[in-house]
Amino acid sequence: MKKHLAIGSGLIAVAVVAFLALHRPLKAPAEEQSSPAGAAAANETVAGAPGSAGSASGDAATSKAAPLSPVEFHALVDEVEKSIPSQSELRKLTPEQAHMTPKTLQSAGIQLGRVAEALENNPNLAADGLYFYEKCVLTDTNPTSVRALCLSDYEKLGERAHLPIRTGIAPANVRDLADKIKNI
Amino acid sequence: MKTQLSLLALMSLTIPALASAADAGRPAATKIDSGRYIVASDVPAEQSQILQKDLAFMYALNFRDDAALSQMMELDGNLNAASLDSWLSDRVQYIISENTDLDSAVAPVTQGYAFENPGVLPPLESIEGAPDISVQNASNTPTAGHGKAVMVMANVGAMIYGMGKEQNTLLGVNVPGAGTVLMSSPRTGVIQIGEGMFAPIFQRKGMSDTSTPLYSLSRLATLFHEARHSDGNGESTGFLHTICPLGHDYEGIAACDLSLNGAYTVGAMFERTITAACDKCSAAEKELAKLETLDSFNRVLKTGYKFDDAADYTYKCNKAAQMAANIGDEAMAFCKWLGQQKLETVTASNWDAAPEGQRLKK
Repeated sequence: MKKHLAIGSGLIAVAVVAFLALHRPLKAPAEEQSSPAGAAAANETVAGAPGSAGSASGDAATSKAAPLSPVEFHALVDEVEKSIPSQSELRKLTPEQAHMTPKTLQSAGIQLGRVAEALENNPNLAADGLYFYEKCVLTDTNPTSVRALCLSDYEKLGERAHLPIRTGIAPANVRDLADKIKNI
Repeated sequence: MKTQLSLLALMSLTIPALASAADAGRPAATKIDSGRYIVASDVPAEQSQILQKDLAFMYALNFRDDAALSQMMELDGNLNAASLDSWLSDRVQYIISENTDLDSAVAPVTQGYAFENPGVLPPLESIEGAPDISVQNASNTPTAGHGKAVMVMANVGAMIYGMGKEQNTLLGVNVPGAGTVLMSSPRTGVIQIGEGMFAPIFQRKGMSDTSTPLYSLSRLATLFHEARHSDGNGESTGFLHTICPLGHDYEGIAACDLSLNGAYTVGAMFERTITAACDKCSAAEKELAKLETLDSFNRVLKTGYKFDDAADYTYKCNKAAQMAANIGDEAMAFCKWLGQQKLETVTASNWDAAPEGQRLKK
C-alpha cells in the first residue's frame, strides 16, 4: 500500500466533495431553474423601514404564563431532561445535520427556555431550579453547550434568588464556555 | 476512498448557454433590504418575506457596544444594524433556493482566468492509499432516528469559486430571475437556503411561529455564519471547517474551526450580541439563542491538524482504538503507520480575512 501524505493537484475537488456533502440537501434536485438575464429588479421592498420591524414581543412564547406549582415544575423538568440529546446522539448526526446547531439541540434549548420562564414566573421554585441546573451540569453525557448553559443559569439563579450554590462543579471546558455568555 | 469526481463531473457537463432564451417569461428575482440582497425567483415568497422581517427585526434591536465583535468583523463605524447589514451585504448578495440544481446552474465562463493567489488553496490533503476505516459513530455516518437532512443554508458561492480557481476557470451561476452571476470572488456572495431554515423547531403553541424573535435570532446568526465563508484568501479562502476531534460533541464531523475568527466565532459572537440587544425578547426566547451561541463557541478548537484528512484519519484511528474495534488488518496497519507520522499540527489563530478577488458585473 502506498502510504504517504500527498498534496497534489485537484485537491480542491476533494474539498468540493466534502463541501457538497456538508452543505447540499440529500434529496434529488428539483426541476431545472432558469430565468431571463438581467431581470432582477422587480418587487423591491425595503426592510428596516419604520413600521416594518418584526415584533420582538407578542408571541405566545413571550407572554407571561401562569406560575407553575412545584408539582408542575417537576413534571416540566422531567420532560426537559428527556429532551436533551446525549453527546453520543450528536455524534451520530450527519455533517448536514451537525453543521449548524442541530434540531434536537435547538429543541432542548426551547425546552430549557420553558424552565427559565417558569423560574422567572415563580420565584418560589428557585431551589428546585437550582437542583435541576446542577444535575444538568453534572450529567457528563449532556452536550458541552447544554452543560455550560445550565451552569450559567445555575449561577445566575443562585445570585438572583440569594441562594447558596456550589462552586467548581463543572470541568474547565464547561466553565470556560459558560463564561462566554455571562453578560447576557 | 475519496474520489475527485464531483468537480470533474461538473466541469464536463454540457451546459446550455446561461440565461438562454428559454428563460424568457420566468419571474424576476426579488430585491430586499433596499436592494442589498437579490432573492432568486425560485425562493418561495414566504421565505423571502421572513428574511426581510429578520433584517427588519435586527434594525429594531438596541445594540450595545461590543468592541470584540466590531474588531473581529472589522465593521465600518459603530456597532449597529446598519454596519452589520453593510458587513453582511459585502458577503452575501444572491439568495437562491435549495431547489436550484447547481450541476446545471454552474457553467464555465472564462478558461484560463487569472485568479488572485494562483495555485494557493486551502490546505487540504489526500492520504494516498488510505483504506476505508469504518468504526461505529465514525465521521459521516448516517444516523437513524434524526429524520432526513433538511437543508438550512449553505454558502455555495465560496464553494463554486474554489472549484473554478482549482481549474483556472471563471465559473458562472445562473441565478433564477437574475441571470448569470460571475464567481470571480467568494465575495460574489451566493447563499442557498432551504426549508430547514424556516421549519418550526418545536411544535407547541406559541413556539411554532417561525416569524417570531425566537427564530429570527437563530436565522440571522446562521446568515452571518455563512457570510463569513465569503472571506479569506489563499489558504484561508472560505474559512473552511475542520474535523472535530475525539471527545468533542461533534467528534469526527467537519463541524469545527481552527480559525479564531471563522464562521463559528462570527456566528457565536453575533448571536450573543443580538441576543443581548433584544430588550423585548423573553428569557425563554433568549435561552435558545444562548444555547446556539455556546454550541458555536464550543466548535472553535484550540489546536488541530493543518490538513483535514490528517484530522479525519487520526480521529478514525483513535476512535477504533478507543472502541477496540476490529477494523481489519489493512486499516490497523494504516493506523499504526499514521501514528508514526509527524503530522503537521497547528494552534488555532486568526486567519487572514481579506477577500480574494472582487465582484464583477456581467
